[in-house]
Amino acid sequence: MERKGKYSDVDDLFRNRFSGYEPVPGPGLKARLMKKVAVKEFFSFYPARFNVYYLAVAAAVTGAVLLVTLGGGSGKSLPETMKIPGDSVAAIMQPITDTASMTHSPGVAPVTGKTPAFTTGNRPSDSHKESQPVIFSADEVDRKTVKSDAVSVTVDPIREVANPVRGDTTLQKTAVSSFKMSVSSGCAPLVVELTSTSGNAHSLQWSSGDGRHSDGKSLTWVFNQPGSYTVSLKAIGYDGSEDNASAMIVVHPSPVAKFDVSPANREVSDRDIMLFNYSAGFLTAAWDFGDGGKSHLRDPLHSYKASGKFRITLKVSNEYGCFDTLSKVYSTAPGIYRIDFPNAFIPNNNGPTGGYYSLRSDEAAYVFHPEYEGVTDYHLVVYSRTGVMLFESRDLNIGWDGYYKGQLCEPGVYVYRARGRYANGEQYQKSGDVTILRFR
Amino acid sequence: MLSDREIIEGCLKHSRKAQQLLYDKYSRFLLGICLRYASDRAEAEDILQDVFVRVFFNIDEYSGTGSFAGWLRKVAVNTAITNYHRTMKHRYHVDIDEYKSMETGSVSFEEDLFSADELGRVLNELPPGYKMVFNLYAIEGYKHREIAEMMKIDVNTSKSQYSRARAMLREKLSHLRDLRKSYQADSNNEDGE
Repeated sequence: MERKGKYSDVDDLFRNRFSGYEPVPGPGLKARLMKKVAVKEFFSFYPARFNVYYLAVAAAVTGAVLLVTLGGGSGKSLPETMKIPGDSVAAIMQPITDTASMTHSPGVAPVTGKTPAFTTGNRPSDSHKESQPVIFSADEVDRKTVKSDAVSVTVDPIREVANPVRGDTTLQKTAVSSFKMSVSSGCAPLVVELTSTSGNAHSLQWSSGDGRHSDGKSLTWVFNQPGSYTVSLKAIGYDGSEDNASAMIVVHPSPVAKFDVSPANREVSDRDIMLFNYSAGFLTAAWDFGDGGKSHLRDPLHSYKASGKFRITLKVSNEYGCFDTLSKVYSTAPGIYRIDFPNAFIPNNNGPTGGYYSLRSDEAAYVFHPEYEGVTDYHLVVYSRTGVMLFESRDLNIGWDGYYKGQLCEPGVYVYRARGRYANGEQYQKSGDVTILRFR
Repeated sequence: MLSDREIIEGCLKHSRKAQQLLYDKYSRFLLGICLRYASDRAEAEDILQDVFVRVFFNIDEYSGTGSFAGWLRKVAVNTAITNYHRTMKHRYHVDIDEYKSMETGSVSFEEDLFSADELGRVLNELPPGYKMVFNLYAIEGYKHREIAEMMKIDVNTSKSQYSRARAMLREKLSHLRDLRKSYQADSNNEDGE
């Protein structure tokens, strides 16, 4: 029923399992490949595969050349080239006329200024002045500002009078919908205060554009999700007439500030600390390290010259001017000076590595090296138990890889001695034994 | 079915028919190799396409002495390495340097426990560099020196990555096996009751 091949070695397991592994390629692959090969062969021109396509292309090229030489003289191609700038001009003009028509469109009252204004609609169907619905809109507008902060805008671009046939009814009875918003755009979460300025309305129906409804005179809505929402207000008059006003609210996404400091709490102030910016959705970062230092880098390094507690603040902002800040208190203590050696290590049995190690790489685990802070001068010597000097280093970045003249040293006890000087001028001398363990 | 020799001669003349025969005969064998180097099937099929393009256009480089399948395998491996170097630029690449586990004792695995697909998936969980080195050394049988040359890395990097990859695979497989055993035990218990 089953083959009981036992593999103590993963190499063999993988090699045997994959030796007969022949999955079937996807069905379209062959066609795609052949197409690719055909194209490539075509362009690399193999005489062996000379065929009718080359003739066709040659004919086409000759034809094109002839056409150009003939057409260039008669000037036939001139109007074609002229057309292009004309089109682009039209394309550029398009948005301009659009915005122009928008500001003058019927029903829209782009009133700048503090005074409430009465404007009359320009509907072609409404010929009598009396029959026209009077639009009341109280604008406190600065339409130029699209920035997020404290702009109050009243917009009522879409306006429908429910029953324009009722033109002869008095102006008091027709409901007119309009409202004020505290802001029209801003960063999420955006708090918008809405106040109805509708006239002749006996009931109001608000709709937020994201599923919320209300019927109050004034209300506050919070928009948490970025996006654009159409807030609309329907006013129903005493005579049953209805009027709608709506406005667009744009909610910009806000960045989220997040960062980490490494090492978490530094006891020595002589090395740089690393700051990792994990913020989401931001464009620029501004760091304040709390000691007067500032940076605009994404992930800066910083070193504190003094000890104490510092408040690190990160402010991230995006292209909409939305920002978020986060502060963390970071403490540093006066410098300490130490050097310590492990009492055992496992050399890499794949061969000598030269002893260079970096604390960020896995080589560090295979190399006998000290943990140190504030060391300037360093001299390490390793002896075997019979007194043979096996290793010597004056470089803190080079430790012992467990090899002597290219040979891996036997597992067992070895003796080391380290001498040197700390950054504060104090001398140190450390000695002890280190055990080499077998790799596995 | 034509013999290899006839197919090769046909391909030398850029005969479409010979190329198709070559594809039909070797595409599955080569896809098996590509899959081990690629991160997913789509990438493997892309590599496979490149392999065939290379084979079709450079078939005159095949000396005719060694085994043809061996030559194809070499082309596939080289293409996969080229692809690896190219995609490494685009990938956000994190090496698991913090990985400090050692091989503990000898663990044996029954061959039937894992299918090739599963092994491929386990292989794919390795960091890309480890996977390449393991593939080249353990399965393809290259020397560390050759791998270092091909991958443009240090010999010692190749060695350490290989041993690391092996330790990781060992751990992953034994974990997988334990999971499966507990699952089987559970289902057995249910059967008994």
